[in-house]
Amino acid sequence: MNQKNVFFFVYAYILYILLQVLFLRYVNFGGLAFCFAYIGYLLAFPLDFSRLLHLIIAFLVGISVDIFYDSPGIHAGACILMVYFRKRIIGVLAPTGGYEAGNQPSVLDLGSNWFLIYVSLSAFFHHAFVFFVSASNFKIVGNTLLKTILSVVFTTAVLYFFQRTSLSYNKYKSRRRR
Amino acid sequence: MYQLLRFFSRLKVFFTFLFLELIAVWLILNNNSYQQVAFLSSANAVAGNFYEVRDAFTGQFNLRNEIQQLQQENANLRENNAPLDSAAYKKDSLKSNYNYIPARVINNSVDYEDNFLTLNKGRNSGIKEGMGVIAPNGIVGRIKTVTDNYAAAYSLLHSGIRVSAQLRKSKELCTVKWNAEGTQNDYQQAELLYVPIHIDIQPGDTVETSGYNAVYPEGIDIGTVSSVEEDMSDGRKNVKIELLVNFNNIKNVYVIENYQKSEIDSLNQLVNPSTSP
Repeated sequence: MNQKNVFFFVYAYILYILLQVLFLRYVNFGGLAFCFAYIGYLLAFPLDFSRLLHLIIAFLVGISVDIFYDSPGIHAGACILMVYFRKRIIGVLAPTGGYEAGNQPSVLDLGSNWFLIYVSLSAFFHHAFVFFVSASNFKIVGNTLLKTILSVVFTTAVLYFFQRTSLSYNKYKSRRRR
Repeated sequence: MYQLLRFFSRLKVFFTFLFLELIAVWLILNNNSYQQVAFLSSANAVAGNFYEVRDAFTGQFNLRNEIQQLQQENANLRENNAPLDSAAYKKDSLKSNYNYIPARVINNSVDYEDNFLTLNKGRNSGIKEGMGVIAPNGIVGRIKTVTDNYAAAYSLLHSGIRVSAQLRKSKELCTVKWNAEGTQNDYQQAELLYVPIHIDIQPGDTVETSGYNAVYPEGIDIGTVSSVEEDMSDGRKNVKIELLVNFNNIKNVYVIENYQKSEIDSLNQLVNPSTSP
């Protein structure tokens, strides 16, 4: 990562957190499907990024969201769990012949199917932690599970939409340049 | 020794994970105590500022409605004030034990199992941890953390909040809790706990605060009884109440300061040392 990249990731951090806590926080369907699209920030780190640093960044991102949600520890714990299991998920999803050097975890580099499975598996770890830890009543495990699954679908859809938008924006830009 | 170091360096990612996860779990377990670190809540200056800016934009759309609510409250207060005016010569006996600090809700949620509010006033305005929060038509919650300019409060819609209440007509004691068993995350409903079967309670009865815990004054509305079922197995009544405050839409609230809280708390401590305030 060079210096330009570092700045980019700092900007992206601020953008993702603000998007989450000022806008996406207030969006949900029937109290069942919630959107935690800020995890897209953690999932966008390069595949060969230092895991140690990634864990620490995950903790900081989680705590920042927790401050706004008044839920100290819950999102931090979920983000750390998700980032810890990212290596396994990437390993399971490796295309035949392995990843090429410099591959980014995006639709552009690895295709829609790869991206959708990658995001939904990661989101499942994150959302399951969030909902099961914050569940006050253990009699409603079914409800919590339903919430987790619907929210995974919601988050994945939103992140996929971001990817598609940026793809078509890039196409549009390159066409203009020509 | 070298072997041991090598073992640790091979597992350093795992140990970092474990370490950070333990910090997170520690924070989660400490969440419900008043000793919580203030900057890890939405009363934090940065979070408070962002919420205030957000409120400045989104608050515009609802102003007409808000003014109407406040006017209605004003009218009610005027009506109640008239008989007090004529009794003003008994000034000493009218002196209130409570001080009301007006504040604005700049962040609020109803869809989670633990919901919180953020208020735009803090320690500088006299708000302290543990004070009650009410809206014109009923109780709202209780202050959790305070910083200089903001306060974070537990909403009544929080799994850890129970409010000591009574029935307005018979003054029978009961406890109000949200999301207890029969209702699932419905911000308009709550339940009454510990209602013995012999108590006469009908749909439509008003439930109000009991004033026993020094947080809320006596007689503030909470809700009206919506359904009563007798549960023969444990000799209790399952009572659901409709909350009077529309939690989805609260903007103007009052934080209640009880001038005698410390006195009452220290008395309680003497009587029952195991319950700390």
